[in-house]
Amino acid sequence: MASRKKTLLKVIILGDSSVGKTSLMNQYVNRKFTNQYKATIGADFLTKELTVDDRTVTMQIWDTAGQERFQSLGVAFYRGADCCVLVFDVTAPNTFKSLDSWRDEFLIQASPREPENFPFVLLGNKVDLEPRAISSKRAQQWCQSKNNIPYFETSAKEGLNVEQAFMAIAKNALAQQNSTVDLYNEFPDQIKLTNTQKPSGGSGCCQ
Amino acid sequence: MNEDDLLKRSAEEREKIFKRYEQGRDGAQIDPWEDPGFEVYHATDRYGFIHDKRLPSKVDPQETKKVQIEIERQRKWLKMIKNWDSTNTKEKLASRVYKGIPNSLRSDVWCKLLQIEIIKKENKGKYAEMMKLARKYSTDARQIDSDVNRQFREHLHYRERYSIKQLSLFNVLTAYAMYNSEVGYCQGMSGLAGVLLMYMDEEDAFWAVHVLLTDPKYAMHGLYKEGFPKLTRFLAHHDRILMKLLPKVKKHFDRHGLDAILYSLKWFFVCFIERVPFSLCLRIWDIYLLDGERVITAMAYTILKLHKRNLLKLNDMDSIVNYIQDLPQRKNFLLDHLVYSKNLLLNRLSGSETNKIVTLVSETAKEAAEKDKECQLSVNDSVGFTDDASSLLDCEHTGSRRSLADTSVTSTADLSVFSTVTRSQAHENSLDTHSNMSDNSVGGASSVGSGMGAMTSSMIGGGSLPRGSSGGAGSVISSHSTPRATPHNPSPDVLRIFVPYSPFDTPVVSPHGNGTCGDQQRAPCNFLETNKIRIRIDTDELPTPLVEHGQIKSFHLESPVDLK
Repeated sequence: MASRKKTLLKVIILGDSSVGKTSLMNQYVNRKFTNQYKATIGADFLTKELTVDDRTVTMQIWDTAGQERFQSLGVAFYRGADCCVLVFDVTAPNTFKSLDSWRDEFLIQASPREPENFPFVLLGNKVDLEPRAISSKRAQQWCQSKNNIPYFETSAKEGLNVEQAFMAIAKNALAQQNSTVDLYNEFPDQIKLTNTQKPSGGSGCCQ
Repeated sequence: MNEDDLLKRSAEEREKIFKRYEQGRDGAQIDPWEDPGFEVYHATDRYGFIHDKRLPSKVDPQETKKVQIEIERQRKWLKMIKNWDSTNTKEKLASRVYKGIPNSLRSDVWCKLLQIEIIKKENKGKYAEMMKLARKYSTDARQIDSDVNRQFREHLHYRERYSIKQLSLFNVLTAYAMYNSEVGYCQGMSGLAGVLLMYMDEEDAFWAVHVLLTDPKYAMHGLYKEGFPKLTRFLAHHDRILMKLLPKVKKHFDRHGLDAILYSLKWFFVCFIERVPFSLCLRIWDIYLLDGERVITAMAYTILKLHKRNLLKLNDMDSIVNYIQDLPQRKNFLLDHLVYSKNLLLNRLSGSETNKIVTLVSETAKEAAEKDKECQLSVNDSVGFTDDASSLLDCEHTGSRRSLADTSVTSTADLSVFSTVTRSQAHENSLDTHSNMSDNSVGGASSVGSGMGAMTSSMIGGGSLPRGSSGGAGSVISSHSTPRATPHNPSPDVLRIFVPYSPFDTPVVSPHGNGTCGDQQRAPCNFLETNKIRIRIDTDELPTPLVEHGQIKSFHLESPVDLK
């Protein structure tokens, strides 16, 4: 499957409201931080090109609304995801407790073929803040219980560990994309039924 | 302190004050805010939004004109507000609202349109009670707190943490979450209440939120409650509208895997707050409060329609979504096109475009009775649309201050975005759909005619002037004067589209009737089948400029006369 013309990795960021999802995405993509982000309504996404193991890939990062009721819109946004990033705020215990529900809900709505092997990455954000409510150890234990999810402690504000975390996210997403025929039940890319069917599929009509 | 001491102290104080004035500015202690140099004064627009950069100090002549027009209009509005229930008001309200409610009177008019007084009277003490309950039992406080902390932080009143406005916003939202426990608090409501609080006090805003959620005319309840049933319905509705009326755009989106939910959710959820320049947002709100939910899907269509040409040029999902989402921020884009806006015809055109839709909407909006069963949008896709509606955008164009981000303002720029798109396309390329109307056919001639028309119209404030009779130009913009005039077409094509009716989205019954706008008597369409969207398209061959001129004229006469 290395033959995908353009490798696109779709990454979904989930987690409670105000844990810093938008900030993490913006810190990673634009290297900017501001205290003035607005509540995300529905979802937003940004893309970034990066090189993973000498391969250029495009990462499409989806930032979602944190309020619980927006989970029901997940189907529309999670479709085709290659990796799911769970975020909690290390100073807010309740955001840690919700992780299970975010993970479960994601698996239900995205319905990947092999839920057990679907790549998640956990980020404990706001490590620049005090007092700390969730220790690294506790977070790591949770990760182990979920099939060894990689864990990073980040600060979107300081830019701490953000680059590393997203690199790991990209690698996991890519590995997953390479290891299985496909995460979802979609058609492989290169099926040509007849000569007349061009892969670009009718793009001529909009010129 | 005895009397002598007091006298002495006051003498000292007097002496000090006099001395300070004698001494002048040299060495005086002056707080930054006491001087005109205080940056906030220069970066704050008329709606209270603080921009990153100073606003241009020169007042744009167009803006001056706009302000003048608004002042003139205030008189009419004041009269109307005094005699709110008179037949005169009923006759003129719609057309005037479409031209834009003067900002200084928005508070009053919004409250009237939402009938706040009545519901407040019926529920005396309720708000205070809900606040008390919220204090004891609110489960939404955490979410509301975090959203209040990031809502309109660039606005003068919301800028400071725990400021009075932030407190009001917090109070309204927590209290409302108690009052309407089925919805509770949903993200997006902070924007809604945030805007209302710019024009109302706490208790009024509380009831305004309630009316917007529960009155069948707005029915935002279904938009916010768990499962978002109304959102689902609106999305389906929007998709069908695209399929029928902008099939190219729809195909283009589909090809790039772009689901309309990505951009339209943000429009529907908050009725365009922070999604279009604030000045335009207010105009949309004026009309929304008058005509209700239909305005929202119509406006969504309008935006895509106006930007169709540019959207079709973008060839991946990212750029399409970014383009749509950045409309308010698209500074360069706006500037690039500013030059065109000098040519006022552009503005004019864009105005008519919007109108079209809005008109449509307003037209259909009258069929309140069918509303729950049926979503319909009737699109009058040929020539005229109401003229007064044109001012939705039209007026905007006179503004000059540019907006950053979501905030405000204005318009020359804003407008020109819309206008150039449509306009230039029409000329350079006749591929554009025929729905661009006569512009296509008339070509250069129309630009002259409409240019003049636009000029004049902008002088009288927003577009009710008849186009010069030069060629088809008139028909582009011209149109009949009000939404009421719409049923003029002999045989409209009617497209009917099934929309599954979702029983979930029936809103809570409103505690009071609607019917603010005086023109509900007009029901242009008579189809009563349920679960259908009807989109009516007039056949293209009916430009009927004469008829329109007649109507326009009468409308046109009214404005200048009243302006005196």
